[in-house]
Amino acid sequence: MTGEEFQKIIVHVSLDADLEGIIKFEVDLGSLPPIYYDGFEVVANFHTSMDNNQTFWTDSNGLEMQKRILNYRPTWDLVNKNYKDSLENITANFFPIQSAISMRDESTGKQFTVMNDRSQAGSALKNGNIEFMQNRRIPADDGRGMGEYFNEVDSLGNGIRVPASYYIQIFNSTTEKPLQRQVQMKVDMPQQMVYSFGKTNMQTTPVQSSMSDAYKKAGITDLVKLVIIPEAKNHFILRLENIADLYDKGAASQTVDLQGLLDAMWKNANI
Amino acid sequence: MLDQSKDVEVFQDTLIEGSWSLLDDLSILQHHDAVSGTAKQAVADDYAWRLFTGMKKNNGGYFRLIDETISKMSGISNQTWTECFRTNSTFVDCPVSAFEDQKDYTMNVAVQNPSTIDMNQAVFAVPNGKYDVKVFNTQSKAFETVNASVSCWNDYAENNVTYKACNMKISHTTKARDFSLFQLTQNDAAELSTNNGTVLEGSEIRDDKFQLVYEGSVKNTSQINFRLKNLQTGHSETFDFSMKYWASFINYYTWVDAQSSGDYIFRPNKGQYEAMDYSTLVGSSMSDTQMDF
Repeated sequence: MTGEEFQKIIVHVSLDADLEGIIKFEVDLGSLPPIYYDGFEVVANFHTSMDNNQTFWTDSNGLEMQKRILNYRPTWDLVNKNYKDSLENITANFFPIQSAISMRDESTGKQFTVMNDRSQAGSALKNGNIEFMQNRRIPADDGRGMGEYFNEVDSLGNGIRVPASYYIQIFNSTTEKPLQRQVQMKVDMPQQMVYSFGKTNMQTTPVQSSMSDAYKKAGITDLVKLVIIPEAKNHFILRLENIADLYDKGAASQTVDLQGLLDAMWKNANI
Repeated sequence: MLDQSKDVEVFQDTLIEGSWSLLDDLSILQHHDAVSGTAKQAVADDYAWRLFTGMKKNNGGYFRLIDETISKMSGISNQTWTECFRTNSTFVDCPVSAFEDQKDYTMNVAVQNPSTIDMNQAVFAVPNGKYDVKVFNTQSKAFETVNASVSCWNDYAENNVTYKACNMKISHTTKARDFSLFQLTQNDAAELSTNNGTVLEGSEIRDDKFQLVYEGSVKNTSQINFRLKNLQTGHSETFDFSMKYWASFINYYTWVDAQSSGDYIFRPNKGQYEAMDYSTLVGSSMSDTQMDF
């Protein structure tokens, strides 16, 4: 085993079939090198030329986008208090990312948004540059009670392989529509596939479902997240959420016809 | 009749119990140690185990509901439904791997779209492009040929053995909160595979509105360049992708500033203000770029 093959990165690039102008990067990161004395913290890096004025936005648990300014905190003096003893200005500029990092060039309207498919750390340390931490492997304990190195391995002892997907939108925020929340919806609720084998025959007469159209008619748009959790027989929790955010230009209220929605559910359960 | 309603009642109990059990597991998985992966390895393994057993407990009920839905939609019932062992993986983790060398078999694929967005493409792992692909048309109530393509690449297993992996892409809309049913029949005479290997500079993919061009890599780095053109406005944007790494700060001498990078703390080496290119660490093994047409 040379180990070389394990360090291979397979990158798949495609255009999203549903959301216009969204580019999908599937980055399959092989094993990080074995650790002896050095640790490796590997980031996926996306860059376009623009001036974001050291400012970017990160999501708060998949909800509102929060403004971040490099080496700055709105409620305390980061530079004089925290940087006084050590120059930790890489660490201090990394934020938890559940769904997106975004930046704007105020002079041109250009917006650059990169969305991820899992919780990661991320930052925008340079103009037009967005990075996400994809995997780490460190021969050290950071003294927070773990008492073990950061070394995740597969069944053969090689570093784990970490695939992650990223979705990019580069657009003019003054004339074009942001699709960040639609991407988030697709990432949170992906298609489920199940398989069976063998030739099949029709045993009963098929019934065409009108549920999808009835939901849309009731106001369930691509920005309304709908979750149904069964609580007991004939009881369920229905959770509706408008996932649009004021950071998205043109974000608006969503109106749902609850009676229409429940009628559609009842009809679907009883045909 | 009585037996049937009793069966339904027991089934409903199983579903409710199963979903509550899975919600318990999912709430534990929202702990910060689980989300960011900072727990001890044994704890991380336990999170994975909880998720695995939680899903296992619900799979029987889920497959039965799928079968009832597919049966209502297509008239085809009593199928033994299975799923891939892992998602975002290749066919080797999927039930079709058992049929890899067989001829003329039929694989039925049921697709559920749980979101509120219509999805225009179904993508799933297959061993090759030798299939006739049909979709169940709910209006004509029959299987009809559908537009599909297969893209392949060289992948590798944990033991370093390389193999060809492929993705089937079917152009068919599964509406929001709805289902689709596909039928794939193995056929040696068919070949849906359109590409096989690393993409060349100048290659492009496009849809009705956008064209994405691969503009090549930067020598001795992991950087790959792209141009996205809006075909309606003619406007172009360039961007690039690269893998980089931060070298961890590790404290070998306890008498200096002691804080190492580790499970909880991310701390690059002192004096490092820019991430380094990953290819300088692992050599030229980066990268195998595929563009999916």
